[in-house]
Amino acid sequence: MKRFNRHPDEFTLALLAGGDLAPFSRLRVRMHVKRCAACRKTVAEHARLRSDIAERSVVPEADFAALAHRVRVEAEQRRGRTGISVGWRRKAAYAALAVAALAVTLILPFPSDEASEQGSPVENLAYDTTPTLAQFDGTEAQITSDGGLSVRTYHQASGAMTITDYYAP
Amino acid sequence: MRRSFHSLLGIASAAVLAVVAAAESRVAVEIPAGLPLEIVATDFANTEFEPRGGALVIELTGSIRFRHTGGAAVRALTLAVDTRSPGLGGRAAVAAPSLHARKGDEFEIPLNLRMLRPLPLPSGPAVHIAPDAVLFDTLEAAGPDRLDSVRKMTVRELEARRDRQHFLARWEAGGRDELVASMHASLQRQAARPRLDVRLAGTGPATAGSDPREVRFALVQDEAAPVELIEGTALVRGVVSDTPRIQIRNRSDQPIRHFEVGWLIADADGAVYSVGAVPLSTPSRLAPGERYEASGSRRFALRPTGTRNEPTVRSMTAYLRNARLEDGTVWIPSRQALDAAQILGAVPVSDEERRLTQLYRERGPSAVVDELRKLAGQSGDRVTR
Repeated sequence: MKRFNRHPDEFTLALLAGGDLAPFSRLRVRMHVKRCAACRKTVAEHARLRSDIAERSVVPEADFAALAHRVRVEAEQRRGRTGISVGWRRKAAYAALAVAALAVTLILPFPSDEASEQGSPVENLAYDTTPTLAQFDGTEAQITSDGGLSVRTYHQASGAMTITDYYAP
Repeated sequence: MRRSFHSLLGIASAAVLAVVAAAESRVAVEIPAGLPLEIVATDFANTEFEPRGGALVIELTGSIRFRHTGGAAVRALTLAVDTRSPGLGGRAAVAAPSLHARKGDEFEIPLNLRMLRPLPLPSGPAVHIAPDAVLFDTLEAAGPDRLDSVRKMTVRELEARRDRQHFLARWEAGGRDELVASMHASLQRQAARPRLDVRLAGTGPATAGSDPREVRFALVQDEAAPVELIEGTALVRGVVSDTPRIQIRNRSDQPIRHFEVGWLIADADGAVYSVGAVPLSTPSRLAPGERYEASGSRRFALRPTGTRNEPTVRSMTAYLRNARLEDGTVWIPSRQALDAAQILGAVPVSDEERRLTQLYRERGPSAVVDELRKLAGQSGDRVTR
């Protein structure tokens, strides 16, 4: 019950505002939003933003490049902590879990010693589909001489450093 | 009964693979002709495509593994990432410095960036990735270089050599203890350096309806620099900086092809921040002795990271970050010159210094010494390509 009361993250609320949530998730998040003023406000803001963008019919020139990296890094860190997966990865995870469910149905009538030693196949598959993503040790944006933005990232997992230049139009 | 379950299992597994493959097929990786690289593997299974309103947000997450097939060792590589959209977020470059790939070696470039393009998508891949240029340890380069990558990689490589020499000299002078002390000093400098949240501040009328003031740049003079900074100003309104303008003179004996002016600001509390490079129009060729007034029209909002305060830009400092002469010589300031000008603590730590200190944090001083030895024996901070 506690879990049901937890606030959805902002990404999920944005997906709700855009009508991009899967039916079951939509139902679940809507039930929460119905009785949570803070989340209702967030959804309204995202809906307004979406409407603004649609009205302009072009991608607005904004502080996208500066914020993009931070949003992404925060999302990566959140995923690293909680194992939340979205988009294609989520679809892949759902499909894998469907396979797991089938496997459970298949295996349960014929339990083996190996399965009982290694834990539930569902747990194993869910673990396998949880992405292992590079964690970042901070990023820094700097203006480039041609008016774009340059963001340095240290990829802790590989020890590599990359510099991403976002070009201004 | 059990056989039918197995069939279902097979079909479902195939569905999983198809979903992953669909994400992969939206990202195309190509190698331009003439580059000594082969693609060994790509992994973009975690890349996400999210429609938002009239735009598609692409969370490009993945990696490309290359094999070097040429002669000289690869020292840096820049990848052009293109969604075929001219807007902001439609085009990017990902550079990987400090590589050391000899012939036959494989190396991996991680990519992790967000792209944006309007909908609908054209047919074919949504993202095209291709090497823009490769820099070798001889400082020669190959590739189409449409994004000015060779110049940028050369500057970074020279900064890397300069900083490796600094740490190597410390190690040779005082052994492990001296190296550890210099690593700690660098880490402290990185931690203490205040950072800015930099945003494009739109394209409306410059500082309309406000009370802008003209701030004069304090200019750092480096006698060894091929470009002299004569005077400069920018319009400032609160945290917004607008219309920078800097007058320079070529004091070298050959034409200047490109130069970058570093930009520092100090707030009312005296904290000094690095903004990056002053975005200026640069001439394609500046003859010896010639003067030029470089100016820019972009507006930026500058706010210290981690605060919601509205700081005031109290003063601005400009210094020459690098310059490329007609014969290909690239100039960068020495650490001594930056230190003497009292801006070493404010300018961005080089990519190599940051990489080496991270290496120290994770694997200790021995790993740093091994890395310095591996890459030692190269020329100094003034190298002709």
